[in-house]
Amino acid sequence: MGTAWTWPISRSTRFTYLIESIGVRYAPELKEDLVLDLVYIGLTIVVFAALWLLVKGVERFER
Amino acid sequence: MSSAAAGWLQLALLVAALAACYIPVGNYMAHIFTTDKHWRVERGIYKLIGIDPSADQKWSSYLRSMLAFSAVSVVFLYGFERLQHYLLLSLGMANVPPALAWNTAASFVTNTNWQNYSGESTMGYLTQMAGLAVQNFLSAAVGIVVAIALVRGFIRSRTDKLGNFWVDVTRITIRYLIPLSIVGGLVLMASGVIDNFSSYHTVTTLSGAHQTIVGGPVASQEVIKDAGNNGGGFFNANSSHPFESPNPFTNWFEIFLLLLTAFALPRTFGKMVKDNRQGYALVAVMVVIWLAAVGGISFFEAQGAGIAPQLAHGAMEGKNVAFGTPGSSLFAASTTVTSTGSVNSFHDSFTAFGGGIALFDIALGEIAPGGVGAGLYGILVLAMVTVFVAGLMVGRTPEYVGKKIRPAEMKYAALYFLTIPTITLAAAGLSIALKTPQASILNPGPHGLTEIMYAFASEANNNGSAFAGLTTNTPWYNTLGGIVMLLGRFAPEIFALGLAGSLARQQPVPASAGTLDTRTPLFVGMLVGVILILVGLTYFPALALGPFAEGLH
Repeated sequence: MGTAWTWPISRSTRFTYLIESIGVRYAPELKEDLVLDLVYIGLTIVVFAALWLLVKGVERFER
Repeated sequence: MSSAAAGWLQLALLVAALAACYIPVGNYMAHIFTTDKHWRVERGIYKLIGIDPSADQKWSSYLRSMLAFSAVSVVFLYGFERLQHYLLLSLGMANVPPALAWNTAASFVTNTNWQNYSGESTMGYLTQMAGLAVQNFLSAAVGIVVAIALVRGFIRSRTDKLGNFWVDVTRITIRYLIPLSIVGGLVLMASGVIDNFSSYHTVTTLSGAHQTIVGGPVASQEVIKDAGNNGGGFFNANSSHPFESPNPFTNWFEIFLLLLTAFALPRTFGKMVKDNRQGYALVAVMVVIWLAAVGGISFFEAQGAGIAPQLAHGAMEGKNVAFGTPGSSLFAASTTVTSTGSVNSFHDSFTAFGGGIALFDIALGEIAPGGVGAGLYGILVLAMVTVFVAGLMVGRTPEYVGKKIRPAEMKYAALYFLTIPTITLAAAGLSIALKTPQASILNPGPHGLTEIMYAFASEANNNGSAFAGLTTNTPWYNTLGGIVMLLGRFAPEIFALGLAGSLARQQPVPASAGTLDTRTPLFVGMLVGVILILVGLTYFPALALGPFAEGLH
């Protein structure tokens, strides 16, 4: 039984390769945190989307 | 002069100064929001951002503008912090780590200014000035305009339009917050607060040790930190740092600044609804609660149990000796009843009951006088609850300032009131139940519970002061704290603006024999009672297990 195949590089590095393949270059310390940056920007979008839905809900209640 | 006499004098001067400013400042803010004239610079801004200043918005459009503006602000400030190393005046500071940068962005956009970092070792000058201080202005402006939109709900009828968010934010920033900050900043500089772009330099002390002397544009940020009820200190020690507040006068002046706008807004309300006595009633409630908080904290800090406090004539641990217990207690009570959160002493070192009152102040929901704007819309919602309760008790028609309080309005008020305790208690409960956040508690037992409760109550109510004793610069507290601050700020504002829309659609009802007069001392007493009972019932278990248990032990 062989061992499961794994990617030879970390997830964040994989993502950075993807970004760099389209010509974008990052400073070394920024590369490390790029995935976390996307997580927190995504979290901002999720929280404000939830608030947006709350506004929708209040509008429905109003009707 | 004895310490107690100095304390009484400070309080008397503060009350006199605030009373003298109540009418002119309140009237001026009412004028800002009611005049039809636009200043040239304002017209330029409207042109630049492409809005029609004469177009009024429906409550939901007003709300969506506010949410969109705030979402963009969070992302912009996050980017600013993450790239600060490459920007001007960075002082060589590294980019802020992602979790901390996000927590700080959410914190400053929501007017909370909870800080999981030391300003002097984390933020460059440009980040402080163009990132954090800009949000100090804008988050304060957003709070004020939401309150004004709710006031318009009372004065408008058969419409769903509440004004224009962009016009309101531009006006209050340009006509009030910036001029106030210029004058206040000059006073602070003249009193010894530093304001420069000097780089840090290391000196050798007389004993041969090395000490780093920091610089920075402090006074210009300090003034809006207090006047906008923001609270984020330029330095880690906040207003106990000698470069932020070097003497008892600056301590007094900062307390004045943090109370000024919040106490003047009830006048703006009275002026706009054309019944100044309504404003007097609300400000009376605020004054009663504020004075009770000042008296309570001062009493417990002056009577601190133990040999050391008795020898020092008060619980002096964690306090700046230049301000003593009176200056520290007055500051602590004022910063926690408003949503300021700046500190000139270490709240974690307060006596159990002194710290417990600070926590109770925050739990009140920042309504006495509360945050700039947030205090006014908070107390208006509670005034409506009081009118409704009074209606049930004595058979009066539930009306407030000419508008009926129907089931729809009560649903908005209930949702408004329940949101923050739900967020606070859920976040605190999770942090106590899970192993990872438990590891951040430095003091076990009731004190540790108080620390966690204080942290989430402070974040959810957008206060921002920290009890300390809790390691919060961790992924858990940075992330959950950011979510708590965003929901604690904007979810109640959604209900407040929904309520405003509901009120604006109504036809005004003339006062009749069955109308409860909401301008009398009786109503003031009822409103104080409702506030205390609602908060007491909501938070009593947590307060009993935390500060009460510690104090009685």
